Amino acid sequence: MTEKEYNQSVDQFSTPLFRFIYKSLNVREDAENVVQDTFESLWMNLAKVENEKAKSWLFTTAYRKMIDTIRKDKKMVEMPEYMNEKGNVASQPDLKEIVNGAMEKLPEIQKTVIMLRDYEGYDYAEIGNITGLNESQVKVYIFRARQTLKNYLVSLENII
Amino acid sequence: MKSINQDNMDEIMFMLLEGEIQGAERIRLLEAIEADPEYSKTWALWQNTKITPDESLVMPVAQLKREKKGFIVPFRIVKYAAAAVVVLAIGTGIYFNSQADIEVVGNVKGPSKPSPVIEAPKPSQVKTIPVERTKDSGKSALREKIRFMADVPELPRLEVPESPNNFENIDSLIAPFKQSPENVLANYEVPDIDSEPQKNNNDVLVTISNSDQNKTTTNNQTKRNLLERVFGNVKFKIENDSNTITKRKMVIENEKYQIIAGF
Repeated sequence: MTEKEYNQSVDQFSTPLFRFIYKSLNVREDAENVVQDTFESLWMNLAKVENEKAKSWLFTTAYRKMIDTIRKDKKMVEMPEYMNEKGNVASQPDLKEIVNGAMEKLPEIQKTVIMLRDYEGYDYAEIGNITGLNESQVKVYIFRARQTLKNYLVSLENII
Repeated sequence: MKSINQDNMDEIMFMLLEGEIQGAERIRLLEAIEADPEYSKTWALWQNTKITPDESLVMPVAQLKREKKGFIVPFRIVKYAAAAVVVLAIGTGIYFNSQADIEVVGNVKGPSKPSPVIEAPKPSQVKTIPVERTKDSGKSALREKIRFMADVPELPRLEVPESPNNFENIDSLIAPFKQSPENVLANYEVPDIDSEPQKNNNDVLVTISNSDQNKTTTNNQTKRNLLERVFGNVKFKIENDSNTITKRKMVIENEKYQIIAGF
């Protein structure tokens, strides 16, 4: 991987990576640190990483760093429901915000795989490479995650 | 070919959502779901489980961009390094200059004992010690010292009475100086130091000569009058002094120095 390709990777993958990490950590500063550490690692391993595999390498590394951060800090702060990015309570939360709120209730691994699937469009095999799971496990975790979200929406519908 | 029912409804809808069912089968299943209100409602919920990224979240990329650069030394390090080099250079210069000025010629032990009198060798015993000439020997301290020693003329030798208590001959000894000291000293001929060793002079112990005789130059200035060369405009006089044994003292003086000898 060349210096130019590295900078292209920064342009291309830094924001998706940040969104992926931020959704799990819920702390902007921590997410930025993870992304920064990840790209620092990429820079250090520039000669070893092929450009075609840079995205997968970045997400794999970022995921591991994120897990380390979670284990180290053990401060998974749950986002209040219907809370938008700026922390203000939305007066009329739309369905997207409700689902995002429900996402926070998912187990970490389910949240991770569903974000990789929906945010980045990874297939089961790629998600398996990043998370260290096999394809069947990835499929099961994604199914359970969607089912949980659907059931959450059903229960909310019933309340409303 | 799969058909949707209450038992496999979630499974079928998940597969449709994930794109695992394609083609004609997908179209047929979607038509079946649309035909049933309950299926349609459930399918809508499944579709809402597809999450979309928050576009407001953006990572600042400026801090991640990298550029390979040469090794950059911070200016503060350069500044201190330059100062250290200057200090070292000055210190080294001062050290070596001071070392050049100091020339150890012997140990000074103070006036505890008079130096022993060594008999001068006979002229036949005069030896010539060659000095090896090296590339820069012309400027060596040793050579300069030899030249300096060679330039020193011999002083007139005064005959001292054998017995220190015999002071009767003092007057006759110093009579020429007493009458006309300037003439005595002015008429003294300085020997040519560049000539052969003065074999008739018993005071010459050792003569050190350069092996490269062709390089030897004659310094005409060494033939100057001893009086002018050593003392400049000198005055010689005998004065009375009650503190000496002979009640007299000899004074030789010029503008800078005064030599007083009492007997």
